[in-house]
Amino acid sequence: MMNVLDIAGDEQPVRKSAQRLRWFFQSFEEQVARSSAATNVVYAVDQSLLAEAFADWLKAFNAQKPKAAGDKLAFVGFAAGLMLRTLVIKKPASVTSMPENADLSDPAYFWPEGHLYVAYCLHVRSLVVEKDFHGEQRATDLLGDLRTWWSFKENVEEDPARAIAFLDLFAGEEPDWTVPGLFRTDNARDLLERPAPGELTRPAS
Amino acid sequence: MSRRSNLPLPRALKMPLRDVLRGVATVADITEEVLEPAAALLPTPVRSSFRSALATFEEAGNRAVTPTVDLADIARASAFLRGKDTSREAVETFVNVLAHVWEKTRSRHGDHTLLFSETVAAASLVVRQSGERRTAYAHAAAILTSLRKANVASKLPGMPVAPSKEEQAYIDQSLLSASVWLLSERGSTLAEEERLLELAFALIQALESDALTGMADEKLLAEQMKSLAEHL
Repeated sequence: MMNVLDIAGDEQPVRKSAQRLRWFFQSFEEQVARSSAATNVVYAVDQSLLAEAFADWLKAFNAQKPKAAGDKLAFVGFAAGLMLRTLVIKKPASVTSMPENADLSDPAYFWPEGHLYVAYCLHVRSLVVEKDFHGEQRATDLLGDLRTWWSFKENVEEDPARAIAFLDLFAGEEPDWTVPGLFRTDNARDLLERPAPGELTRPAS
Repeated sequence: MSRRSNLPLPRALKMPLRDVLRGVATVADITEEVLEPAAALLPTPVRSSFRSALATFEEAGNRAVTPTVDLADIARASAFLRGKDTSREAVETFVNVLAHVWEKTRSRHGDHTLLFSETVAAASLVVRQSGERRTAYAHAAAILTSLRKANVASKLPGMPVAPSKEEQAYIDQSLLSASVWLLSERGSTLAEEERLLELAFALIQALESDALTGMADEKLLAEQMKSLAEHL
């Protein structure tokens, strides 16, 4: 069978394929196989929870999908963050075995399920950015930084919406820590970041 | 324990006969459950023979009532649901595929004694052909509505016996899953098709009541089926 994480959608944009359950299941299974091969961590995946994760993600995705073409690229990162949030909530994967003497200071062993979810979301995000928008996802050292992962785990346990901001951080983007669960276009950000009317300075005469 | 049945059964049974056998298989299932407390009072050899007889009935029935389908049948059933092929043969193939789906999902997800009647389903669909032009999804929604109105799946298919809330939800999930699967992009192998059917069922279960809101409104149902098929 075709490996969907290695290629672009053969007939339609990757971002469209990613909105289909068949593609989601296949690509997630591929990510599990890749992560297992790289770390020797064995995962079990609950198919019902995976389907629930997709259904919840789709609802959240459709609720905030922007209409303006100019916002589509920015929404890619947000949509990937929404997926991470949903996976963190639904927890479809669980570790069934870890290698002996696994180094727990390595994020892949510190929180294997979280590592799997982040790897998956970053992978799909980069695929869409590269194939559909001819862009490039930045690499960041934070992916291997245990302190960041410790903070990530603690924060998403408290508020899963923070997963959206952390995924931006892992992708080398500027995270929105204030309202991470709300997609804001550049225009909306500009409006929110303008000074309040009382702070307006008098125009030069 | 599974035991191979020696009952001689023709490979392809006609629709009404499959309906009868589907009832026999279910009755055997219920009988064993009902007689379970009494069975403990019987001497072991008698109890064993009794159970074997029921198991033979049940297994033979199950084997005979799950129609085999191939890729061409699935494609034709899909064409019927979309309103592209409204011939009598297409109706029969569609109903045959629905019965296949019913038995597949029942064996994996259903813990009930609801029956699906191919005869009632075919009769309701042959009668309802109107020749009216509509979109594929509107046509599919009309078909699904007809099937529900005809009570094609229940404890007594075709009879106005109201199922429980849980039973109705299961019936709706099964019929909607089958329809969404048939409306989605076709798989290239039978194994892929079986997988897609499982995914359709999983998606509709995951959406819970959201997926069934359109059942009372045909226009909304058509929109929902379009969206679900596109996201499968």
